[in-house]
Amino acid sequence: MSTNSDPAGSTFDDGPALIRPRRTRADAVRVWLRFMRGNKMMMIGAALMLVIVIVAVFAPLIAPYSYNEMMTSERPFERPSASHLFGTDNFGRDVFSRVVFGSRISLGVALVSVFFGTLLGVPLGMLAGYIGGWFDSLVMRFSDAVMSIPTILMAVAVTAMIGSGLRVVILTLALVFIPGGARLARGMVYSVKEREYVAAAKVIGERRTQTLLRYIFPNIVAPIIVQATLRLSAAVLAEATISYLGYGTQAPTPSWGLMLADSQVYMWQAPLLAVFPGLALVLLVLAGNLLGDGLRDLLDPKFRGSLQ
Amino acid sequence: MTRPSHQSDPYIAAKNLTIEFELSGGRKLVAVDDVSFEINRGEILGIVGESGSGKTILAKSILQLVPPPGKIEQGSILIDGVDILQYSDEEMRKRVRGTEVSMIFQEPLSALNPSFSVGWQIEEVFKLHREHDRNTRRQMAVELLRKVSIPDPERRIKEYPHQFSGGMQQRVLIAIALACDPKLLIADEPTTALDVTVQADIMDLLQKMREETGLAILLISHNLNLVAERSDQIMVLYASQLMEMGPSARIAEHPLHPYTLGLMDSVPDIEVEDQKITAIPGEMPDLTLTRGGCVFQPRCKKAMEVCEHVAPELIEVEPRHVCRCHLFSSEYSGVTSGGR
Repeated sequence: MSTNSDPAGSTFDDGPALIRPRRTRADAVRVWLRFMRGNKMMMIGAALMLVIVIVAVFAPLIAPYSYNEMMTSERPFERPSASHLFGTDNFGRDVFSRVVFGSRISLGVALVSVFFGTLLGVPLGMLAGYIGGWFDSLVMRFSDAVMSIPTILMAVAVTAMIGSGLRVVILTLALVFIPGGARLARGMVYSVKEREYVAAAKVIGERRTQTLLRYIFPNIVAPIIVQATLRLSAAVLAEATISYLGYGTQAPTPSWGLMLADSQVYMWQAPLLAVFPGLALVLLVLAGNLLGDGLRDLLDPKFRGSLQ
Repeated sequence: MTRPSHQSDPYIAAKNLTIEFELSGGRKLVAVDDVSFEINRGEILGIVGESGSGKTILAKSILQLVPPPGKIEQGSILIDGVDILQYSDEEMRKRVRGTEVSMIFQEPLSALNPSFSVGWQIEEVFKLHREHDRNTRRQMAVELLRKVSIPDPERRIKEYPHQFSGGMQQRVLIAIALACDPKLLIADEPTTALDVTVQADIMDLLQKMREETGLAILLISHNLNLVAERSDQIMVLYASQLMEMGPSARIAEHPLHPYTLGLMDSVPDIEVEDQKITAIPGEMPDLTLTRGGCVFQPRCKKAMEVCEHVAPELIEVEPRHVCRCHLFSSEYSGVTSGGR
């Protein structure tokens, strides 16, 4: 994977006086692009994600109808046609428009909950692993406690506290994601903090916070990113589950999970109704996973070094 | 460090240093047992001993980086007359680590941060202890790489540790350690992980640095021959105790302690044909148990009855040449020379 620089080439070519021009931002972008070209799977993931993000951002421009406009002129369960690309649902609503608007919910919920879960969990776990002692015990017992609560039960509890709606899904998932992130980060810190380069950092008089941020964090970030991307997919599915049970997204807001749940009833009359939101879900999850894998490789310093 | 140093004063002096590890169940492991030594500016002190003899812990105690549950129980470490064991962690960081005392390690690759370029890692030391702007830092880092004989430093400074060979990685590590002109460099088995030819290069480099800057070096190794060849003084450690210490030339020619003799015999000599290499039989004693007699007695070829019951003291056999063995005590006469 890494091209170890050829000793002969690096030692004897261009003379010692040659100073290369500083790398500009455009060069850095070029390096990224070159890497992406070499990693086809990541390219596919990035392209898919880009499409989904564009769809979510420009949903009102892309969708031909509103997500809750009922087509009174037509019957429900219309087959896909030129006027209704994905057909219509049991209320005669345009499924394509609902899928387009649904991307906002799915993507938004997943990104926000994973973001907050990681933002709270990872630093907590890193500190626990780095400081150790009673603080470590405290954080770990807390995360054990949170992990012992099933996601659904957590959603019920959160609903009891703040009422139903999208915020329930986001808060529940963020809470559920904290312990896992903390545990992963703590374990990684424990394994990395005994490495010799951490001891070497102390030898040169490095500060403790700087040691954690510059010597430990960069070397544990790859698994954290991979975990976060996998969670993106888990969050999309969990949102569907919570919404299906009635604690999350409320009708008529078009969440892919909710659409999937609703279409279950009409499985025999209109099987296609489940296919489109399902397909959208699969594509989003796939995009997240491919992107995550590619990012992991990109963050590996062995890769970065070989690109320069 | 504020006191003016006299010519005769050693740069660093450790006195009666004792380091203990508290184990579960209230047991104690004595990792360093009442060791004293001095190093002058520009001098190389070699510490020899087998794995677990306490040499690395001893070295790390100078930086106050003894891993827990280890604790410096007793003794003092004076740098220019100031006891640095009284320093807080903050004071150690600001006044000692990197600027007075620095360290290089056995495995150069694992001692370098894999996530940053070597340039970043050198510049980080300047950032910590000096107030230079970015360009100056970069230039100084390039100069430093040139000084440790890394070819084409302008280009290599942007590379990551894994892109260097083992010998080059050790040179980078030396550059990082010497960035802020420490007066003492602790070299913990600096060549053990390297090829034999590269070993010599690295040792030459360290000696060159010593000659150019008056750097004192604490050279830790299990290879007595390497230490004898490269250092001014030798300290032989066994089971946490100082067994013999003296000028390298004296010890190489005329070792006193049976353990030192054993170490010499266990290394093949290139100039002698058909020689027998004799290993020292037995193993190091359990350090958590206290013994009545000499710690080396169970493995010693010259053990006498007294060795089993009475722990030997350090005896100054010749000026500046001390040895912990009953063979040289006045009350126990008989053999007076441990020569071969």
